[in-house]
Amino acid sequence: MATRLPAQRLPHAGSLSWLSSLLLAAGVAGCGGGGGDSAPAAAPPSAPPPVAALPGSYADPVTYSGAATASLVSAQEGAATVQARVTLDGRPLDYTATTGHLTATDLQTGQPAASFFYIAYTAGTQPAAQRPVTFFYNGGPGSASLWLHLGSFGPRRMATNFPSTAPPASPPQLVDNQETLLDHSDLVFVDAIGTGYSQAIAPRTNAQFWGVDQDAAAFREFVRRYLAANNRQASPLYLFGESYGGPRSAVLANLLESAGVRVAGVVLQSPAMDYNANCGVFNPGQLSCEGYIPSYTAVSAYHQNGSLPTDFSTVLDQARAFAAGPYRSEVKTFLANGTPPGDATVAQLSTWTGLSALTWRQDFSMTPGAYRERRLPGKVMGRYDARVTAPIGSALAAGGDPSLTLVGGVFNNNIKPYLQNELRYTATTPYLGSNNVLGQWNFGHDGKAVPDTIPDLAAALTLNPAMKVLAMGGYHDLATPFYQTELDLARLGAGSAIQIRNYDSGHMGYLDDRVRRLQKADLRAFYNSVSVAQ
Amino acid sequence: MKTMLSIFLILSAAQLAVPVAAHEQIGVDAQVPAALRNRPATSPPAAGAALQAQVLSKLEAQFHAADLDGNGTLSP
Repeated sequence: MATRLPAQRLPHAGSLSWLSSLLLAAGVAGCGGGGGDSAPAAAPPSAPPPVAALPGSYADPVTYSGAATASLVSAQEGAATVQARVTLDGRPLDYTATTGHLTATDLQTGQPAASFFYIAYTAGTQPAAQRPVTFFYNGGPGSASLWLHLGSFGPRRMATNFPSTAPPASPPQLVDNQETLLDHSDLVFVDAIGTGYSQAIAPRTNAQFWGVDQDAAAFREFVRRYLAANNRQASPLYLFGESYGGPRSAVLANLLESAGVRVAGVVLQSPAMDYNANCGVFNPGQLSCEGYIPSYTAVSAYHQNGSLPTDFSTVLDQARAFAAGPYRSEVKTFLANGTPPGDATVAQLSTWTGLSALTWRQDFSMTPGAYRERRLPGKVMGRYDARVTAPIGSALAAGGDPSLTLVGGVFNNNIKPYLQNELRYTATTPYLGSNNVLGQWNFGHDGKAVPDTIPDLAAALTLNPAMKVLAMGGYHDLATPFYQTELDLARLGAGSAIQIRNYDSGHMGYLDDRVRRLQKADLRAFYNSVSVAQ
Repeated sequence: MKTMLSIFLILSAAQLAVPVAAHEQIGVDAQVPAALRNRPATSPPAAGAALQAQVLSKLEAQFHAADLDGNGTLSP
């Protein structure tokens, strides 16, 4: 690490000394190293923020941009380093938080290619070979990793009352995360290029990393750089990707294994492994929506009862069998030549979903968008978490997905203060929580217009049969339905040791306090590593 | 207490107002540009022996890409 300032143990946060901050700010102003266009989704750079004079702080002078043509003139590997402590079940866990940039090089030329922004949490004194390190990233593509960072298994998390839409008794705040994975693994949260504070380095531009293959290749180089810079090549390496981060993990795992970097395990949080098999990706009427049938069943039961019945696993098993049986058979001919579905099939769908038989007859291969519009008239149903609903025309419904609106502001507005006040990393530009890259993203992969990454995961498993895979999904996720993930992963064969856990949750199951506890228990078993909590 | 609640509600509204529009416009995972929403005719997802063949082909291509000298060994 080029810049590793002296660290000092601190409890959490601590307001910055405004006087020393102003003095230091005067010293770094005008040292911007950024270039290129300004980001379309970011506000204009504000005045340099106050910079902490506290030990371990780092005032990043670079102006970052998420614009397609943006690139940094050069990059430095600066970082803030602080010591902190969380208390887990009454036991203290001391850790180091390192926040800054590492440079990924071009494997072919050896030249600097991209500056990745990351936050690493490390703990314990175990030898590197015994201490796992896990790389976390969200998806999109175009999303920074703030959701996993502030919502899942880091040492600190945003406490919300998700999925409740009732106003919280107190403002959402950062709390010690009782479900942090830091006791079992070091954690590195990293942002994709063009998001957060990650950016291309000239002559490369951000957009040159916006594609399935180039994105994963850049992540591979970041992982390699992190391992080398921190002497962690011997550590068990885990990948934890959410949503589009799932296919990224599959491609990345294969690239890492091919480059001689062993991957101990991959965690797929609500992954979109095969875009070609997800009927929600395409215009209606082109593909069977069988992967959604169990999700429709669960969501409808939830809205009928106010919760899922405790014995619902039997119903879901029936829904799976139905989707793979009569529904799959009949939808094939329905889509091919308009053959009407049978009465029994339609009746079953109607019973499980609460939608009329007529509706199912007219739209037998119902997309999730159509289901969301029809199931609760007068309300907008969440896509990422269908338990969250809002009246049409309400503020919560305005963005189209109330489950995102419910927490989006909280996460986006708290990430930069957290970086600055607790992790002591300051930057002059806003943190880019999301970037509208979809139109410029090269989804092509292995000859297909949109990615099917099951072959990548299979290739990684061929190179490393010991690699563990854990997929975690939510019953109320109408973006990447859990049963479609099961179908995707089943292609790997019965002999593959893929573990699948599904929860009474949405896409980001960890936002739900009860589910996050279940996930942590499953992750503890999956890692099977020694805890460093005292 | 009432004042605090009002302040909180205002802050919450502000939080909702600022980033949400941008986030939801693009934060929709598994979505693709309009040009890709018409599904091309593709073969069924490979599984079993077909998937294994695809994997071996993929690994072979990766090996050849790394065999810059074309001599059957990985180039440093």
